[in-house]
Amino acid sequence: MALYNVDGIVIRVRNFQEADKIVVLLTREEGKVEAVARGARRPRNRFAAATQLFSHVRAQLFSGRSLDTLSQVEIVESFRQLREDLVRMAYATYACELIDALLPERQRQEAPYLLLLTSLHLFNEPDRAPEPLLRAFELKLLSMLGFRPSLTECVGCGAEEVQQGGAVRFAPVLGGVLCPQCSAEGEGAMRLSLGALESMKRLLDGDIRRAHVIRLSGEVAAEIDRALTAYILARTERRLKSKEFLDTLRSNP
Amino acid sequence: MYYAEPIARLIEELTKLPGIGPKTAQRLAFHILHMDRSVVEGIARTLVEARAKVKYCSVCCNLTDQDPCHICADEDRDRSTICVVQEPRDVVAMEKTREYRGLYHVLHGALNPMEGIGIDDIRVKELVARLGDGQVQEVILCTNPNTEGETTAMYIARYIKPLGVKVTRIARGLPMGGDLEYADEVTLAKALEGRREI
Repeated sequence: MALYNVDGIVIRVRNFQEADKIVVLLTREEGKVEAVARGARRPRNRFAAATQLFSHVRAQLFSGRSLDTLSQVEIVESFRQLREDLVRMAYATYACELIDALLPERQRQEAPYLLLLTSLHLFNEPDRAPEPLLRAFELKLLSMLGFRPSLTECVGCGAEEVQQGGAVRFAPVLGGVLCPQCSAEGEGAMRLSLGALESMKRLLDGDIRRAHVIRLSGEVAAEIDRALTAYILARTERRLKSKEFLDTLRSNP
Repeated sequence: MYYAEPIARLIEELTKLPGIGPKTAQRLAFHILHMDRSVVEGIARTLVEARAKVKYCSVCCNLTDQDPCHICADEDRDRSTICVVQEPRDVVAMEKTREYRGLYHVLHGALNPMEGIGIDDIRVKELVARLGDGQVQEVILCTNPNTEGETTAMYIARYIKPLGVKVTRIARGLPMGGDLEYADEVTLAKALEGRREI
């Protein structure tokens, strides 16, 4: 496999040596792949435009001993509207960083690729609210990778009766809601209103293309944000830097 | 230890420079050892002097040996426009065009959410402080046309537009001597958007 073709999305770019870039591609065929784009920081380089974050590309790669090299690349979709809107861009950047943090390299799995591609197309549409879309993306991605949060049954004992006083307890480390009996076990568990729980269920199992119709009020959005941020932190074991940027934009609209 | 101690140390120090690996450092070190003593002393003096004398301009944040820098101190410059660039070398690139007669502001970086480079890591506050006196009519955002540069430009625009200053972004289009076939769709679309009657 000296030369191979992939269909991929640029999920991370970093500078390498004098004029090169290293791009991380999430590909349909090979999973997450790292490749060097030689000379991509020079303005007239043929890779310069295609190796921007979010670009959906068709690329030919050459497999090397340690790093693969980009040999040809063509843009399929560049997501222009997304790039021209600071808030949407921050949402999409976070989505890319999350997928990069959760996926190991070269794990062939098509579903996360398709989810990200669909999500970028949806973030790119200016009239769709990005908040529910991001939440649906997070929940679906976690499910695909084996971290589906348990939202209907107690994550401790499987009991279906999880309500307590018009709310539930969500335990981020255990990965789900707790029944009143198991409540004491959930380290760092937090209160989740029934409205927030219901929205999370719909976002988790509904069609992501319809996620924007789910209205998240300020309070519910904040609750889901707290729960998911803690849940994701328990899986990634590090804070995602682009989340901070997104949070500062969200707090000063 | 294969080399005498001073040579080994010289090689080690040289590898601290960007783009210099151990082999290049070795070559440079031996070149230096064969050079005339006065030349070597000259280089050493210049290095120390440059590092000691160069500081940030208190107005535009560009690197300078006098404060304010020669551009900020120049009375003939148009004080109603500020061109915002990422790096000191971008000021030189703009100056070479000989088209621009206004002032500059150097950010020393660009926002990069994924690498954790935020608004406090680049010199935006200094820019905002310059807009207070009402003398500045227009801010031209000349950050790089890549993801980080665009993010920075959008962020700054959002920040300073409420102050009532005209904010413009440098145009994007095709490079001179380029080839239409190899232009990407974003550049081409931007070039079409900004077309002019001839």
